[in-house]
Amino acid sequence: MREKVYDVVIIGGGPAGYSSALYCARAGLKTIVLEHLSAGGQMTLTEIIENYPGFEEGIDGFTLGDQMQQQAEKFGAESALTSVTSVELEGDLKVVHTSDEGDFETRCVIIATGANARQLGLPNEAALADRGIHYCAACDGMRFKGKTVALVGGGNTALEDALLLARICEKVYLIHRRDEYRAEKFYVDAVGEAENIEPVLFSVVDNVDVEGGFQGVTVKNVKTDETRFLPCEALFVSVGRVPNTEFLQGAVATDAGGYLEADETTRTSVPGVFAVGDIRTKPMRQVVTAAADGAVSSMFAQQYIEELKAKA
Amino acid sequence: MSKALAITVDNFQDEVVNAGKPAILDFWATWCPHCKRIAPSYDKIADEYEGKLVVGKVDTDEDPAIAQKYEIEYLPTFVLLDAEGNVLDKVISPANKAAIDEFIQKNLSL
Repeated sequence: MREKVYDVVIIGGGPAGYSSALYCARAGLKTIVLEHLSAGGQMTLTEIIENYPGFEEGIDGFTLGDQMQQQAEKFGAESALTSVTSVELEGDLKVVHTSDEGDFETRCVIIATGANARQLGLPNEAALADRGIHYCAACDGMRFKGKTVALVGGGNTALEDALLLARICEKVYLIHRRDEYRAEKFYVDAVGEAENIEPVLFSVVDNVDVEGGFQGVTVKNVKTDETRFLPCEALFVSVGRVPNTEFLQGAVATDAGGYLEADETTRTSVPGVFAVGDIRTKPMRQVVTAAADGAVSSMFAQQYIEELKAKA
Repeated sequence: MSKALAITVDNFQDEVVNAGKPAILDFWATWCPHCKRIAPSYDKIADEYEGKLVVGKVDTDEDPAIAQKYEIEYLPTFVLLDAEGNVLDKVISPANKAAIDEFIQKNLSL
């Protein structure tokens, strides 16, 4: 165990984590961010971010993440490159266990671990991520302006993504394993009216052909086992997201989707534990909403620490 | 803190083949976001395995010949070589440092 006790340990170094670190450090709290890859989280995979205010020409996610880290560190926040394996959140002094940096004692834990897109499970999927297989239509759709793309999914987000792509792309194949979408009627009707969306129903993705560049998607009909090749430039996957909460082992209350329950104060079900960014129950998951959470969490972390001191 | 060694066609023979110890090579490119995300973890690997394993990086745009030799199709790919330079295993885009550690330990007792 380290001699130093932190006021705040932030798990996850994306925009939520480093915004929180910036505000906590500027408030004089002893703060460290634990991140298992480079700073920036999911946004590092976005080539150009055009909807974060202040960057008129856009900025690549990697650079933005790096700058957020440097800005937080300028005010005294620390960073460690490590994976969090488990946590002990009960009581006034909490412990965060890591894979290779030992244990961290802290008064507050701010969880900023985000959520990853659920994958289809194709053998070459990891290698093709963001290079033909994409998980964010709002982020990557513009790269396929005027082209034909395929999208797999049947929920609200999937149909919303299909409609967004239909406005940008020449044609969208909408692949769904049933003949009815789970999405609300509003979206289903809109998809029905879109002339350039071709539903490919009762179908699942069998494989993607990347011989000499992305060629298209082969789908299999789940009723007849027949296959069909859909020539296109990219496959968008919109089959839900998986919040990164495994290391918490159920210690913090979640909603039905597995996201951490916390209102606008970012306070979770456990005193002294806060949830910021994509991991938190919220209506819109964007860099700018993640950064906002980070700022808010610092205010309630300070308040919690003051209460602890008053109690002592 | 030591960092992963830049491997080129010029130093490949000396630093990898004639090193007398196993090697891991990270095939990457400057434009590849997954390559950049894993880079800090790989530097930590270089630090921790110093003296036991050659930890190298091959910029596939600068040295496409080395990438062709190892039939690299996706970036980043990590290739593990034994002390004689034979390929032991490959892994594409490992999730984090723990995954690289596991990949090394699975193939070598270091």
